[in-house]
Amino acid sequence: MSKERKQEWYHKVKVYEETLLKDEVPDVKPGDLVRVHVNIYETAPGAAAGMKKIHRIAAKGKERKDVVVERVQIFEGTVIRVRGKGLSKTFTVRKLSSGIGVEKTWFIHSRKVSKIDIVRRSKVRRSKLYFLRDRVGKGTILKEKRGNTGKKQV
Amino acid sequence: MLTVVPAIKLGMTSVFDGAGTTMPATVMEPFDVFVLRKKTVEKDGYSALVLAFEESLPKRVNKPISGQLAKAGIDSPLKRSFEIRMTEEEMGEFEIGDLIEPKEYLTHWGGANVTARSKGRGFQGVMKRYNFKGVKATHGHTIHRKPASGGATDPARQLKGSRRPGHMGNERVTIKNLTIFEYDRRHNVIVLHGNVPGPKGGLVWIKMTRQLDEDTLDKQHKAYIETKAEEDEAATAQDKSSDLQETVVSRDDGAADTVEQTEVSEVSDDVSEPAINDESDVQITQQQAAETDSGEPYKADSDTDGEVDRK
Repeated sequence: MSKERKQEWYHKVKVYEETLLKDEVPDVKPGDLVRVHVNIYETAPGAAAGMKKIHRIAAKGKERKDVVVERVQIFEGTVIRVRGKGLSKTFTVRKLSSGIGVEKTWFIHSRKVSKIDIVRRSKVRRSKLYFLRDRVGKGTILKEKRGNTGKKQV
Repeated sequence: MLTVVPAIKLGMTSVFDGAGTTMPATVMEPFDVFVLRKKTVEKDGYSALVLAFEESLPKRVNKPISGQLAKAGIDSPLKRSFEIRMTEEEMGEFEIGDLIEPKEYLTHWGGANVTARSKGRGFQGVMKRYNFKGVKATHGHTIHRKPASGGATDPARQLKGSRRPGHMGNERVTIKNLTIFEYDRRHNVIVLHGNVPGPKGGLVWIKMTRQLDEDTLDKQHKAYIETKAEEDEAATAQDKSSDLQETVVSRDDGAADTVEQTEVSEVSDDVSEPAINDESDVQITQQQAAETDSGEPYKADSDTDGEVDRK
């Protein structure tokens, strides 16, 4: 097969992927203090359904309010990693929850992330802030970056 | 409605399900098919619809098919043909020489079996070919990746069909009951959850196993119309902005500064990219216009749906 045809197929897949992207996502950067609004699914009060069934219903995109309740949970922490581009772009947020480090990673274009608030930006010199894993307490606070915060949109 | 469609495997990607979890998916591009011939019980002993697809160079079309193409009055040189078994009553909705576009029927599909020729692996051992476990590499073992036992000693011969090393792959494989994630009418691609045999660019046969229920169809159609309206608005807005840019360019041309020239080149690049999108948009709007002229295409579709159900 010729190189041109291979590129054509690849291009068609990429064009289709663009239809799955969100219209607007904030420009999340390593060192940002963010509040991530996460959609989570729970058993409705009175309904007898395990998590497996709930996820199956949610995955099909059906509205079954008697069984599944969708609510928003907020996860606040520092962005320590942003990787990938397009559909596969993910970001990782780290926070200290009662002295124990918790890290969560999401696809930025996923429906699970309903909204991202950027609270403040920090002055950092590397793209992956893994050094924060070794720090506790006051050491985890990064130096704030003044001006030009959260206004740029991708 | 057709229940089988040939397609090209374009590649794989990941999609989000309703809850936002990623799933592996295969993207395929279905072919436009032409009605080549109708086989009847009287003449052929059974009834079937013969369809032709895959445009090619005229010299690549073999004589049997080119003769049938000429008889059906189809101008484009189509290389391949296949048939779908259906009764003569069902064939009534098709006419010889008709072009059947994928968007006419693929939107009704919910699940499918996919058949294709798998990638050839050459001569392979039993561990790769039949998922045998193998034996340790060290500690005095000498069998390693070999098949070890050839069977029981009682029959005193090798039983037929025992699993041994040999040629693997390059055979017809069917993956059953895959869920159709989406048919994108705008880009003419069908997206299935899961994987499909064969290489990128390979020919795959998608055979419908179940239809979407009325509610989902209704929802999909509404969503499609809404997104379409938004896209059309965006396209018109783009046209306006590009017009403005062009006027700016023409003004800049008067003052021949080197700096401004570079600006002009940048602007012209920007204009040329959306121009491609505009064309596709325009095509779709024409299609939509044609559909609306013919009068409520969706109702007509649902009617055909009903017929199939009754059968």
